[in-house]
Amino acid sequence: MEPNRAQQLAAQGYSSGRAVLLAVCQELGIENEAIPKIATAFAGGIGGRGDVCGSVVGSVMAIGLRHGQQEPWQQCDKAYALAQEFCRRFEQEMGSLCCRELTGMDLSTPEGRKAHMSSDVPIRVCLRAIGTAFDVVMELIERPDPPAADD
Amino acid sequence: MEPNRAQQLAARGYHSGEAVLLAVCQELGIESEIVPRIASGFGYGISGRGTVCGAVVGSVMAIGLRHGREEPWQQRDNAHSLVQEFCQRFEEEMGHLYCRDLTGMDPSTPEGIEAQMSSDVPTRVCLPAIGTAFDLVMELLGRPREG
Repeated sequence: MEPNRAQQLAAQGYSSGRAVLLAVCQELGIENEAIPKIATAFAGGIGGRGDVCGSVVGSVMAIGLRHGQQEPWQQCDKAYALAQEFCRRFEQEMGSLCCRELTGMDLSTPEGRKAHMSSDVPIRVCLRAIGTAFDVVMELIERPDPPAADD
Repeated sequence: MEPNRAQQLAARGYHSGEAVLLAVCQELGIESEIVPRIASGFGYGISGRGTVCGAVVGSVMAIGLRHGREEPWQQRDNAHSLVQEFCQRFEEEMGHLYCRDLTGMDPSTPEGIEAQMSSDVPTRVCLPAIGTAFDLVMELLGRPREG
């Protein structure tokens, strides 16, 4: 299967969070100097700590860009609902949201990162996570609102 | 003690990730149309999942804005080491990085969020977490760059 836009960016060297965020923004025509560097440190689950996968974080950022609030009195229920659905579907597809559970590796040390890079995990797990995140988030972001209830 | 800028924004209704990210950007004079909305989905540990606290996510975004990479071939900056130090110190100060561990509550349902909002957790836990995150990240970003 043809790699999607996020997977192509990852193959160019973008880490998971940056690849997904940048790919969504390219797809939606959002240009901003903060993108993708705002997602730089979400690799290996926040600076290598192994928690939430960077591609999940990049996706939730993208949802916020489209449906988030700029002022505190605006509603962001839609961003919440979409982020919840995104997490549920990513988890169903990949088995976990968490870097260390997805990869089964410890990326907190230089040795751990080296072992990760020389294993098949980047292709077998990370690229698949990035591709899944991008496909799911694009579908959710572009989905039209359901018609208002008629009552 | 006077609430810091992030705590003041939280008191106006921004949630943790938005408050910290917006406060840091205001402090550094970064104006961006994507701030704070890029952080909107991270309340209650990513929209109620109880994972990483929004204040931590907002801080890590701010570190990336200042020290992140634009292109994949750029040299690895010190964003990662700053983030690691941030996480370690936040954890020392607050005890945990995760929303559910910090609050002891389950924000995954509307009832759970309501229970949290009507408890003392927002004042006892969330506001200190927001304040701590902002102070730490400002200190780390104010430090002269390495190399």
